[in-house]
Amino acid sequence: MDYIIYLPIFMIVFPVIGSLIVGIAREENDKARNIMAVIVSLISALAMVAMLHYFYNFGQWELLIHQIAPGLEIKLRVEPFAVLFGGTAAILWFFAVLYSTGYMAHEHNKRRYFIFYLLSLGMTMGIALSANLLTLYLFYEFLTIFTYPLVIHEGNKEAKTAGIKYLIYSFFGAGLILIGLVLTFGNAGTLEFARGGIVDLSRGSLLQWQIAFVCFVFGFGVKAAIMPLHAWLPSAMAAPTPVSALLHAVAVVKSGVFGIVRVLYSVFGITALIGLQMGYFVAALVSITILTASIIAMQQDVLKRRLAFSTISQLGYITLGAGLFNMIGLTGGLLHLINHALLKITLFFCAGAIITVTGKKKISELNGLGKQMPLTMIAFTIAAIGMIGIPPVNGFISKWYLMQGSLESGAPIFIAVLIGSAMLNAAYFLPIVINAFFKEGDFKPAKGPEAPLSMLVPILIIIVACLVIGTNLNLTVPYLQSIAEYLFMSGGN
Amino acid sequence: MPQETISYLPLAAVLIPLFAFFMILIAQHNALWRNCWSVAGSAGTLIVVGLMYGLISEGQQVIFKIPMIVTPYNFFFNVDQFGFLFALLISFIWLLATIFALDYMNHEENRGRFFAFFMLTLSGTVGVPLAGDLLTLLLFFEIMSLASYVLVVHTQTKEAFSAGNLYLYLGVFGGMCLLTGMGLFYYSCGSLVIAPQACLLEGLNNYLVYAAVLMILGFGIKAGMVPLHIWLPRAHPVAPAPASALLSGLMIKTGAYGIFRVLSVIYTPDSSEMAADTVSPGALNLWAWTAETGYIIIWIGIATMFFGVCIALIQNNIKKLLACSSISQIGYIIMGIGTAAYLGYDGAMGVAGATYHVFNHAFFKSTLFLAAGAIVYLTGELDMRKLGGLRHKLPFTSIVVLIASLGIVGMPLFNGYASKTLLHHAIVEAYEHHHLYSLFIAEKIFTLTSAGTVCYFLKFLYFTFWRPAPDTLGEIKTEPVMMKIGMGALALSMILIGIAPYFVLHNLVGPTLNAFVLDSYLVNYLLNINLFIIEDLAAVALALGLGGVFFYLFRKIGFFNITGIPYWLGMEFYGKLVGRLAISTWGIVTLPFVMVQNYVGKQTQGLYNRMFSFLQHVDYRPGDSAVFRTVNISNIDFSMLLIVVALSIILVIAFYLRFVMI
Repeated sequence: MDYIIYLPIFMIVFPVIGSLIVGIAREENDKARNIMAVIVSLISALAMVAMLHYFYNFGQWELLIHQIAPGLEIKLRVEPFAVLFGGTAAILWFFAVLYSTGYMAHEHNKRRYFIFYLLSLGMTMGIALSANLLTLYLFYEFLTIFTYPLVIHEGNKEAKTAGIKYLIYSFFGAGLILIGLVLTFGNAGTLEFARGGIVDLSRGSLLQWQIAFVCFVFGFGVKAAIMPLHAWLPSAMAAPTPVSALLHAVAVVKSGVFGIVRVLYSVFGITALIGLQMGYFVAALVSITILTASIIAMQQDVLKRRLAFSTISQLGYITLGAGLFNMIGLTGGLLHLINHALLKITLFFCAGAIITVTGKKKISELNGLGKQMPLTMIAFTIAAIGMIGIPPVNGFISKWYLMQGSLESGAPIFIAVLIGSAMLNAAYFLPIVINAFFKEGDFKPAKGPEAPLSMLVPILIIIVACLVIGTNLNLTVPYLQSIAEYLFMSGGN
Repeated sequence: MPQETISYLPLAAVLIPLFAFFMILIAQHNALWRNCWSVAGSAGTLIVVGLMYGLISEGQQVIFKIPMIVTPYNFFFNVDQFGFLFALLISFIWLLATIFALDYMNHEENRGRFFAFFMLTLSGTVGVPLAGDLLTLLLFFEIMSLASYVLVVHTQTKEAFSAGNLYLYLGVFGGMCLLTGMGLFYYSCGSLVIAPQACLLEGLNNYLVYAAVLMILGFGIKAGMVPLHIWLPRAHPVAPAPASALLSGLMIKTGAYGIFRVLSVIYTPDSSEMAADTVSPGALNLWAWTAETGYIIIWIGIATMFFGVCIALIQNNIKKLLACSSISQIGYIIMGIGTAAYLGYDGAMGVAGATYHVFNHAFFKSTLFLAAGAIVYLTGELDMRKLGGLRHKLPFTSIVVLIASLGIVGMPLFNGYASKTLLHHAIVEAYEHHHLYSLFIAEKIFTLTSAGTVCYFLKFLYFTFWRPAPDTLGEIKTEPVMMKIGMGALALSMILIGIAPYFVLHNLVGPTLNAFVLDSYLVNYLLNINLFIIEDLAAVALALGLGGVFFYLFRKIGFFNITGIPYWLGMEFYGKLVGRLAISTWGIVTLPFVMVQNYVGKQTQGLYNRMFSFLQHVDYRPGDSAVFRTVNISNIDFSMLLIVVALSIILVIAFYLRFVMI
């Protein structure tokens, strides 16, 4: 347990150093760079596993890095919620890097791509492990900056426009967060995350607290793609598919959701939330997002854009769970954080494999694809079924908990939202599957593997994981219940 | 309480066809491999289900449980006599349909896919009656729903896709209804086990009522209950014959099974409650509620059976006629379930009638669909008007169809007689229970429906088999041997069931009554009933006579020449109308928003441009960077509509919560 306490710093610093090492390899030297990138991400994932191990054996610990001024500290803490987000991201990052080596084989500027891809890993770890709002804010801003080169990777006009949009939206959100930060610090005197919250409504005016709350929700809501602040996400689909898969389905957007949950439960705390008299503000907001995004998704013909709108809708589930203000709902939201990450990354990986092998981006061009890429499409089908929320794929568990949560909070209306969204999911996912398998098209059975193995293997591993998690609930639910309990109950750090 | 035995048999019954599914997928183009695994899969399931008979006949329950730390997600099988009968029926008929399909599928494409999903569907279907809690049931129900979609769209024609879409989306919708219903039920009761729940005795709150309604709705879609039947006449005929046989013969029964379980098992007081000297007020309330719901279900059943007959009479396609007949027959079953719930503790007759009819209908409807498959395989024709004289050309099929038809119309000594008689007894008992005049009418409609059934089967037999063959019909080969085995075995079973109704009643249907809370006196009465008394025979004779008269009259007035109902009478017409109305209303309502959005966008852009040039004018030089120019308001697609709608809804909700609720 000696050097282990420095593991959180290692988690952040190692990818940064690693990205520089990867940068040594010349642009032409694909092989060396690929190997190094995979090794760096593998070591990060293993370090994460080691940290998980120590965490579950020895409990949480924290690490002060730098004190700027009294009350303003850069501080890391290993605790259940941090481990949940960090673990999910770090492990999926490994698969995504593996996948990238296959996907990027025919792309340009690979050096730049891999450097920033790994840098983003470090920043995401920083977000996950941060112990106070200031640290969170810091890494949150870094993540925006480091992912910008990935968004504009293509270098064409579409990508550049998307990049600018991404920056404007993100900094707008960050600005709001900063306002919230100042208000919180002014009124509470600390920014430290604590169980049960740091906000005491009797100190400071209620109005200021309400403003801070709204600022936080909309500020983090930009990355969490809460409508009407979602528009950057569909345009950011101009990025290469591994970026869309990992950053725009897992890391970046989930960091927004992570921020919202942190603010709700570690900064405000359940007592203050009820005292704020904002009722179902968050839940109502995301309910609209869930339904509207699903409706818009139906009209998209570009596969990645449809997936992007589906992401917007599904992120709403997680936030909805947090906004129900009860433990069952929160468990459902956190469950969906993992389940959605696994399912959506599979869907994006499949979309990327289709683009690499056939060059087709539009759904209307995919008729009969099942002949050429059966395994990919089977994985896509299973993930789509999970998205709809049909057992035995993992998506239905989170839906079940969210349902119980909405009943617990006495607002069965949210069940209608969930079911309506499930039907819409069916309406925009199943036609893709049906057309791919049953319609006649120009595709011929592939000779040899249907896609590069570095792409196919991650897809299959993750989809099997989805089925295993969906059938064996002991793997996830008890842990997430304890995390929800940790966030929910007050007392201690 | 019945004794429970832990056994791997239920799990094996589900896993064997699943294994066969994967095996077939591995080498789906190898015909021998595929055929062997198909037969092995279905035969294996039958054997495993059969092995449970030893335990079941001793009155034990076979259970298997993979426990999870977190309730309620146990992977839980609990097989009682009722579930066992269904499982046995499913696996037996599945095996015969598989054997039939071996030859039949020769004239279809994609055989590997068909047989693979045939097995996957079996895995789901047989899992439904074996399940011990509602979530496990839902799991298999969904597997069945989704896997059978592949069978429905097998031919990949335009018609198949449109029918398949309806089937799939209604199936998903039904599944979601079930999930919601189960969610509500679990929230209120904290348990999902299929058994009488103590919490229901404390009074039904709204959630529990909604849960029951949603679950009945979800199962009702699968059962083809009016008005949710619209998918059935379209989806069943387009599938290949063996699949239609199973869709119509077995899969819709899982819907009926679900309604049975919800209404007569879960929403019913415990038997210990009834054994006590005085029934508690909670139990009485629950009985009253179930009876009320049962009354509604009776009428849904009556509507379903009557409507089914009406649309069956005007069909000319054999498979469509059979599909409509399925709607009508499932109406009988739903009516039986309704009477069982309506009579509550005294509902033995309804339970037995419905169960017996499930049993019988599975046999004759799958036989008829297989025979229709044989006809289309050999003649390439399904339109009755173009067929004829098949009794000479296909004597084997003719005899099989005749046996099945005599069964379905309820001819004494054939298999449908006993169940229809029991159902008739049940509806009469329901009438005598409270002497409601409406149920008196229901009984009359029942008789009329039976007469209608006779009428359209006479039509089917006359046009297809009896009348002289039209010249257009070419030479016809004889049936392949596998088809003969499949149909022959089914016909033989039907004859045996028909001549030994008491045997079936005592050994198969009777034991299922143990799964329900019923008055033992009435159960004994039922088991010792004499089915061949003069009143019952007279009722059947009346139906047969009326049917014959109808047939004669309809032929005289040329009713059978009608090719179809006018378009504006169909459900689809109104569905499309509503859809078009909704879309245009949406357009009109959103028009002002869109106009405002365009206007505001244009003005804002203009303002920005003016400010920008103004800044340049006052010698503020932002350089030649394109960044500032590219900030285009229309680029940042703040959808004005979204914002306005979202904010107004949020405001309304916030206002409501702030001032009305608190």
